[in-house]
Amino acid sequence: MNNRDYIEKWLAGTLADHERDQFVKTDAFQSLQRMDRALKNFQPAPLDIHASFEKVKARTSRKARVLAIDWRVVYRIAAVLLMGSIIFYFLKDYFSLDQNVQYATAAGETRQVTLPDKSVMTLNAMSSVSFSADRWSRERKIVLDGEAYFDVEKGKSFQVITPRGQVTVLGTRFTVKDRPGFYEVVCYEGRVEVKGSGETVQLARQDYYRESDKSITQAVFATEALPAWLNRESSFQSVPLFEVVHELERQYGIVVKLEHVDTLQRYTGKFPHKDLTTALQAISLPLNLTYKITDSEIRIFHGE
Amino acid sequence: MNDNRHVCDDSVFRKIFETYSRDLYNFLYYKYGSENNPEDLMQEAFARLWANCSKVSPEKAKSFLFTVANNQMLNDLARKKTVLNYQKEHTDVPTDVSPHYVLEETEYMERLKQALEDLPEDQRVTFMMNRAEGLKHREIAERLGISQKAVEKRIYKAVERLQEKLGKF
Repeated sequence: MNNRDYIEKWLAGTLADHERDQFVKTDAFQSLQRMDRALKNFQPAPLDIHASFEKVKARTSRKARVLAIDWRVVYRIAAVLLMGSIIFYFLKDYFSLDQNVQYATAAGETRQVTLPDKSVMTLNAMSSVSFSADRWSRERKIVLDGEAYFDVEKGKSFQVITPRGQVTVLGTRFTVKDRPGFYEVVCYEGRVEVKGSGETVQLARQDYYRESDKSITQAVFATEALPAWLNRESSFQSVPLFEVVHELERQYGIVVKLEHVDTLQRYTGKFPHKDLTTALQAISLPLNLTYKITDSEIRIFHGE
Repeated sequence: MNDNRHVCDDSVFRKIFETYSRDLYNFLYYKYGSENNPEDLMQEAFARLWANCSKVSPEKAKSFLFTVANNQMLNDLARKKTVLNYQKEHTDVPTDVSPHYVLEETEYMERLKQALEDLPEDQRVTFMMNRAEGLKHREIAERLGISQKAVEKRIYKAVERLQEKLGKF
């Protein structure tokens, strides 16, 4: 088999085991694997589905109205708008208008951001947020994809919107985590209101709310005083294994292969962010699993 | 969508939006880049779906949306160069991960970004849907209305070009 055949089969995911063993030794595989990992960082800015839907509705109803209106009126309005936008264009440097601010973190990175009202937000690895700095005084709203810890100053309602849910608070400390197949909100102080796919729920200090693909859990007084990842550890309380391993991948910027392992089994424990070997042990030992690090991959599997 | 009600029905339209808006938005981002406002283009496609809601059944909505997004509606627009963004700053890379992972990370990311932007549109969209978004060949074929063979071919072509551009990496 030549290089092209290998690459095509690799892309299609149809390499046989012995072919794979051959292919992983090649330079081509190394550079493809590196590229694959890097590509995960090329994602568009997070999308606020609810706000976007409102805009579509605004667009469609505007069109309907215009049809019913006398065109002369439309032209007049257009002329006024044109004048307005010309004036606006020359004045806009005096105002900073609707600047959408974005932040993102790479694998293994955390980042602290101070918001316009001095609230502080800390992003965990491979997460992104956006918000409007200019509208902040009227509307404290963050769009998040990933995981972040918030220490919110008292004031108007503060919202965190992720693909799966909406969290509303006044002033408090909490984390929101929205990852594939796993959504979690933890309250560390004050009160937090969560609207996920079920009913709206209220969380008090040290409560958490969790949704995975199959279930919704709410636990009272069940967590630590601060998220462990602020101290370079990840801590879990009966979290499905797939999410624990995904977190490991995000913290170390690696890909882990799970072989013949029940990815839904629950894991309770923690792993450090600065020592991959210890982290792998911390995950695999309690669950009676084995891990192996080679040049080309990291595997966790059942048995010897 | 197992719903025999009409797309003109508000709740059906909302459901369709919730189901496909992100997919369509990702697609437009891969195709036109961040400078051409993919969110706005996505909304325009949905506005067109709404305008045609009596003619499109809920089952056909997905292919309608991708067709609209993919064809001439957007060619009228003065297009800016395709720009893709990535999440920057690789700090805190753990020390016991092979140095191969860390090496020249910034230069690598810039080269990759450039190479992706230079790909022909069709190849970039197909490739990113597969490698960045993680879609199966079959799903991509369905969204773009092309054969699975064509998808495979585009992805391979893209890989070939990228390898060429990335050179020593």
